Amino acid sequence: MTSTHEKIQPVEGLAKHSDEELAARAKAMESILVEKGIIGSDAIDYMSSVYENEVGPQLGAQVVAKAWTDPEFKQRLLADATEACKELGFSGMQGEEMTALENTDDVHHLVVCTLCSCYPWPVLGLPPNWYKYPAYRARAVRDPRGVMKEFGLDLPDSVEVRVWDSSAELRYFVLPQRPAGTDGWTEEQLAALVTRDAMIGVGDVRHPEG
Amino acid sequence: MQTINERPSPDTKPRVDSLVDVLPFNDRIPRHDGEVAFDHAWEIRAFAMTVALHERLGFPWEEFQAELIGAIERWEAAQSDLAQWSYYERWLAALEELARGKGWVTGDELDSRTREILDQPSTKDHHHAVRDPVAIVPAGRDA
Repeated sequence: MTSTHEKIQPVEGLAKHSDEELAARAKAMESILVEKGIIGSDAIDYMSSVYENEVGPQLGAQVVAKAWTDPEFKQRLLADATEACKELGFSGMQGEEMTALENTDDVHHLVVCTLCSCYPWPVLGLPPNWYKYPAYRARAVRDPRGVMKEFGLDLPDSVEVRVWDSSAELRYFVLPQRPAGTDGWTEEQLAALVTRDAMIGVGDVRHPEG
Repeated sequence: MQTINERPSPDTKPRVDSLVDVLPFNDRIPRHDGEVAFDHAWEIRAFAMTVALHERLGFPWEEFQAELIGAIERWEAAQSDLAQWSYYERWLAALEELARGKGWVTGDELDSRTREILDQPSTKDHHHAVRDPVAIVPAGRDA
């Protein structure tokens, strides 16, 4: 976390504000405004969804593309995602473990945080607003296939669905299946096919045209 | 039933883009592939809060622009290394000034709420690792 602290600049010549303090101030402001009825959290959620794909490190697509092209990396990723992700150059969050879940022809994984919004931030960036909505947290467990259908993912009935609960100590993300028709593609080309929703398990990766 | 994967309407993004375009020190706004981008979750909340307040309450965007210019100037007056400032840290300072000026919050309210939040461990509710699936829908159940 030291690297992010170094980026934070002093406020009005006072002591340096850490990223944690700035996050708390922003949260304090939001909670007071919402409590007083000055603005609704739904209105703030709506505006944050305009750019929500542009937040955070978003290394997930790179991680997935590398796993698709490098079988040894894939093995390391499935054995210990926290360590394997470090190979791609991010330090991650201290004391927090990540696990990658591999989709196959027979099993599809879906990730939810049933209590709050625990999420593999270093890999996926900012969680989408819906990730913290009670509707998603409850229905992902009760009716995962229904939720996926809402996102446009209609899995064949022959596939088993497993739902995983991310927590502060252990956060999950999905390693989707490599789409057909991508033989010989570079990691960079493949990474462009990987969507955030596919790594949460609610959506599919993009498929090559034609 | 609540729609989970609602996306903003197509006219929203150009409208928000045009608000960003008129902000001071535009070249300092962090971008990724040309799009407005954020390094931290709190940055997008501060950003979204400000735009939502402008749209819902109808105060002129120029008022926020002016606060942002003021916040950046205050920083420059206090610092020797003028190149080293964080856009969204200044953004948050400007939003606080605006909110105080409008009477939405007081400085004391903000300070005490911030302390409350900092004193509360962020992961207190959901700490332990859950190592097995919480639900399994077997294949071919309805087949």
